Amino acid sequence: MPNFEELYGQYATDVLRVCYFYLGDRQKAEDVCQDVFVRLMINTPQLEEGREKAWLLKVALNRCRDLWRGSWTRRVVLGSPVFEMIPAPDESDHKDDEEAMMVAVHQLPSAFREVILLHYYQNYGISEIAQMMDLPEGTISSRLSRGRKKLESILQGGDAQ
Amino acid sequence: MNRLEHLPEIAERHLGGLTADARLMGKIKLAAADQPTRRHAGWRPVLASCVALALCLCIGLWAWPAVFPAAPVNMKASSTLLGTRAAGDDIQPVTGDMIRALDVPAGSISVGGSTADAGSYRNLFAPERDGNFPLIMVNGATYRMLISPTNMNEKLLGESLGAVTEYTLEPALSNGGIVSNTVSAGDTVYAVKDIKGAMAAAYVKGSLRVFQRVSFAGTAILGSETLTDTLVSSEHITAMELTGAGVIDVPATAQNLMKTLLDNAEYESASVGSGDTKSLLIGLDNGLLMQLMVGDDTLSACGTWSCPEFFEAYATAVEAE
Repeated sequence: MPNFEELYGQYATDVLRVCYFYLGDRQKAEDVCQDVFVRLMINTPQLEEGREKAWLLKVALNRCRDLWRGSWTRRVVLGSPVFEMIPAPDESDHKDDEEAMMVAVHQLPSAFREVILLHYYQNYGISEIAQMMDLPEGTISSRLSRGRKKLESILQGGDAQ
Repeated sequence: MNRLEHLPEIAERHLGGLTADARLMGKIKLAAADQPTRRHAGWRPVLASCVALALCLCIGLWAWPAVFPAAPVNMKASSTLLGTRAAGDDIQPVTGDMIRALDVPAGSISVGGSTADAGSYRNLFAPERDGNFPLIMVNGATYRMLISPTNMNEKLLGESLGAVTEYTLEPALSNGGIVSNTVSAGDTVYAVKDIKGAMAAAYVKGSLRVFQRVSFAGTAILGSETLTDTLVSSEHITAMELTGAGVIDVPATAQNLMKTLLDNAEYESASVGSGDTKSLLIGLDNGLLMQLMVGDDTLSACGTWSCPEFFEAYATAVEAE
């Protein structure tokens, strides 16, 4: 298994961005990212070669889910801050429709958000996501399909519920 | 949704400024280095907490009778916990401010207690015995006995579904008809008025008991049934209680939540999570309660149904109350 620095260099930014996409709170996203890599350092899990990123994202999403659901006041703590774009310095040319889609993904119910992020953002296949989330492949396919419909509805001005 | 295919590039453009840098790595290394130290030094605060807890417990036990004088179980409740009233009394929508009577065995469900109790786990399903829960099977549809009410008012009885054709302790092996491991052979099984399909009722040892539609032996919904066929339509809902979340006792809100559930739930499987320790109690306008077990974004009784939208909506409703 690559050492900690290598794993951090390769995957920490992806983990951080997925967490931010999920939680919409930069500080919380950094906290989760920190938790994940601390766990990696302390527990030194035996990870299959090539599955390191999947493990990191799985632990990160579990933690995000806990935070998101842990408190019913979560919108005050986590959800209320507006999901802001953090473009790179040379990417100041914002496109409204792209931003709208980013925000819409963030507004999806958490179960749909997870699979959309893993599939479309991190390019995982349905069977890999099913493995990561300990769910049947049929459930992942169904959530992807329902997530897409929901996303379309949000983008057309519908409700996230 | 073609744009979704370009999510990685779009996210790169819009979140490109968010990177895991050397500062975060430094924080991680510091936090990791701190872990073993904290573990060794941790006994002092733990010991102090234990002593403080023991002290509080002693003081609490000593002061309890003075602060909370003994009260009957059916004491008048000023809280707004999800309650029941004697099923079959004059049928009126249950509202938050009504004082509700209990019709359950003492200690089986605590209703009308402290508000601190709101959202704690309650299980209405009668427990298993001899490897099966008490049930009635009516032509393939299984109904499980509820612990509440212990004797339903006859006013709530609907049409007769027929008489029990077979009494057996192994209902899974029976060949159909009306089978029970609880109701005697020859006794009539009834629908519950206005909620046919979701509930049934029959006399058990002289008391009229209520049964709720559930999965059994790998069978949940039959034919083209939907979740609505195994529950009740939203207009009959007056309140809900979700373990860990709290009570919604504004009928209109509870009805909207039910509509969200019925409109969005998607069937996952016939199995039902046996280790679930969360439940959704649904209060009906006839005073009866139904129950769904709650899992990870799922609800189950007659099959397991996925409905993240319901949980999101419930969270929003609780926050709005």
